[in-house]
Amino acid sequence: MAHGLDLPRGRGSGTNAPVKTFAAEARNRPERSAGLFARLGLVLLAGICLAGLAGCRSGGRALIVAGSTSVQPVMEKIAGAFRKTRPDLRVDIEGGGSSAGLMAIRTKTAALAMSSRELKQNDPQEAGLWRQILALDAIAIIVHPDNPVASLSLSQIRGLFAGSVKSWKEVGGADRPVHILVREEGSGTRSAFEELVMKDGKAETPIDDYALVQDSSGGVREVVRGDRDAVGFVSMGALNPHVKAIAVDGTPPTFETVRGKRYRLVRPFFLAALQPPAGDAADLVRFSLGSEAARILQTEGLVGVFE
Amino acid sequence: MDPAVRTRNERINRLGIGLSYLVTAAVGLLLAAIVGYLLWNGWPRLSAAFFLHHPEDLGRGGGILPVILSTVLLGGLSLLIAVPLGVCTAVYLTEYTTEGRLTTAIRFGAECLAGIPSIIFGLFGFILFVVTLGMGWSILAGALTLACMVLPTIIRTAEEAIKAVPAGLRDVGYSLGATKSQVVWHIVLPEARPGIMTGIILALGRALGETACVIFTTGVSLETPMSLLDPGRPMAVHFYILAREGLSMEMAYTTALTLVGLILLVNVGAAWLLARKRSS
Amino acid sequence: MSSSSPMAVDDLRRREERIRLALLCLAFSSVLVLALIILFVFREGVPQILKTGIPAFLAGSRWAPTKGAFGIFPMIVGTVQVTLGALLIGVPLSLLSAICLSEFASRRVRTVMKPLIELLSAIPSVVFGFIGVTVIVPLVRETLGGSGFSVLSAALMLSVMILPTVTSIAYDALRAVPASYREGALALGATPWQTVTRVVVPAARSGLVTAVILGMGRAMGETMAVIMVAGNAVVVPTSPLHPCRTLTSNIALEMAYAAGAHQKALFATGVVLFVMIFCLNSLATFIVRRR
Repeated sequence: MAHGLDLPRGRGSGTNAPVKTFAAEARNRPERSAGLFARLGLVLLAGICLAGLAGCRSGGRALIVAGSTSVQPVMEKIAGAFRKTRPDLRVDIEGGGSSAGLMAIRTKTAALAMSSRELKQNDPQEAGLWRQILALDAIAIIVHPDNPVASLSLSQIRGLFAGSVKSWKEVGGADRPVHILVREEGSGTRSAFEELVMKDGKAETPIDDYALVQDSSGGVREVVRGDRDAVGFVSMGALNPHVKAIAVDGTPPTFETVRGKRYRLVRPFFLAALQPPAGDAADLVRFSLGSEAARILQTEGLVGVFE
Repeated sequence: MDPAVRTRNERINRLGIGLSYLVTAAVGLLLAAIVGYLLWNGWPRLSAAFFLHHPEDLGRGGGILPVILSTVLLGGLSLLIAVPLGVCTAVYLTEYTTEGRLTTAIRFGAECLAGIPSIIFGLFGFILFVVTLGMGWSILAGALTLACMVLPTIIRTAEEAIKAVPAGLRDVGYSLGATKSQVVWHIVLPEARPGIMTGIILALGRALGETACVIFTTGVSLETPMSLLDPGRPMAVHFYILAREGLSMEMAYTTALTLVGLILLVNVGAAWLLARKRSS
Repeated sequence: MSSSSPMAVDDLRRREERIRLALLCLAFSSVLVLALIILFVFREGVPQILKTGIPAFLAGSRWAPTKGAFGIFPMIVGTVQVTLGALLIGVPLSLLSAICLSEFASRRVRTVMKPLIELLSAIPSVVFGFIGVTVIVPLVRETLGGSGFSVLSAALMLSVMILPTVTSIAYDALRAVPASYREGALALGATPWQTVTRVVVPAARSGLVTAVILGMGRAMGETMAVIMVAGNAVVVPTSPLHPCRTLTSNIALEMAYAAGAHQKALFATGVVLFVMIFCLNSLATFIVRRR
């Protein structure tokens, strides 16, 4: 009895503990006790093995598309339609952002990336990738539906977002403070907005430091929906009747004005891949550029490029 | 005692107790209001179809079957990994060693781990499991990350539970000639089971309520996960996306209600199992 | 081993030793995970901090990573303000209700409140965040002005979020104080309130400190819910009604689209957050030990 003296330090002061039961239990099944730690270990091992086994993906082939959260909703719908033609194929659409998507195709985590910004040719992660314009998107400037302001010039918009216009009165609205909403640093929508709106010739006016930041078009829209003094910019695909899109220099963002290139704030959405896609990925790309996808794009407020 | 002092003490006493009751009532009301808010907003859409159908139109309609499946897989697998690790650590710390530099190191490690924000676990899981180990966005990568995250909770609660087992019980085991491992398995762990269970439930709640670290590791795919290497979207993430993108508040609250209900169910189920085990 | 096992004592001893070793290895899992986290997060982040320069990174107040400006001072201030605000509001409420539940309340009240508090910790933090956006933010906007997305809103929301954690741990700590302490104090003529404040609370101090520290960790580490209500502007807030950004929300907000140096800078934010929490933990351990 080697361990008889090796008693644990006394702790606690148990009162009505059922000593009898446990003594009885210990007497009844001492032979099973040894393997029991092994059993705990086994559970752990089983978990790992299970995971390993699952390594061989079940359920047929899968295609992972990852990237921009602005492109994600419409891509989910396109993929849904695509899957009706290819029931054997599983298509996973992941958000995460343009960069995460591009990183994912680099590491072969995903087959296709969705990007709402131009690829950075000076970044080794992104140079030399295959890319294809999926659709044209407009950047809509949105306000609360109760806001009387309906049209703004580009320089007025610049003034609002730079923080130099402090009250809606200065641009023809009520005498109320302006609450600015922008996307986060690095977002494709933000860099397009800075490029198209904040830049006047060479000089770029910085966005006001006190601007509220949200990390998705939906987020910006939901805040504007709840605050009558707010102004923000979102992808045209994110517009809905709860917010009002401002006409820029007299032109409202609509399917026609974007297609006719009359609306000024337009940027492309891309699909990207490590190499020109083949097989299932190529099928999906072809489908995304086809007529059925163009219809889906239009219902989501985007303009397909191949019509 | 001076009667003036006594009346003053009495007054402070009444004031203090009154204040504490007031605060408790306010806190209780607030918490009840939050639960009520959830029920009020989520209840109308709750139906069998909601549990059994696939989402339609990005989650604006249909049900949340794949989301429930992802949640269950993710929660179950992360516990399967974290519980044996956590309980073994606790057993080692309490039964197999005396306080020393080693236990200090292990405990400090666990405590630091407990303090790390979930977003850092997300970064870590993304770099290690998703990218470096090539698991991709998957239930497995998410479960491993969550297991790391809940490990300290399980260690801490299991340790407390084991410490609370009266020393006398162990002595009975040794006096019957049992070895240390036999004492631990047959006497200490069964006695500590309710406490360990509480820890597991807490860990489960934390794992399933987590959003930040899951988005980076499990992904947000609405497809049904068919294997552990498939991506999925657990309920908390589904709620986040539905609510934040303004897709459907009704569906969002119904999802949140389902999640709370699920955790409650596990809680009650565990309590029932323990009670049955006790009585038999 | 006598009764049923034929194994020799030596075999038994060897087996026990093997079990001990296996447990020791498993016990190191948490240290291993910690080491891996440090390795991976620091490897990505530290070079960027050194490149920017430690003072410039920590004290710089301009954050425009796509334009090469990496200063996280506003985020550090934001994190501290929001966390302190949450503790200032949440801790007194939690402690008072824990005291009430453990010392004064009847069994009936306790059986209702305890499960309610535990249920609350099962609600995902994003749900709190959303309630914050739909209830607290408009309330602050209508009553106090500003956009409503502010330090104050975030602190209010976090104070509610930490209530369940702090209350239940503080409650357990108070319950663990032996009844004899209370009896002794009451026998000496102390009022129940004096007993609580002069005897029970000091006796439970280390548990109460743990509760507060855990609450602080929760408030500091919360990410998604804070993103929803804090407004996330990169400014040093000088009023509770100003928007602010915390270190955690900085990472979660921008991780999705960050590339190159920007991504590294976010990992570097993680490093700073990690070091802050590490220091706090060490401090807490020190306080608890000193007792």
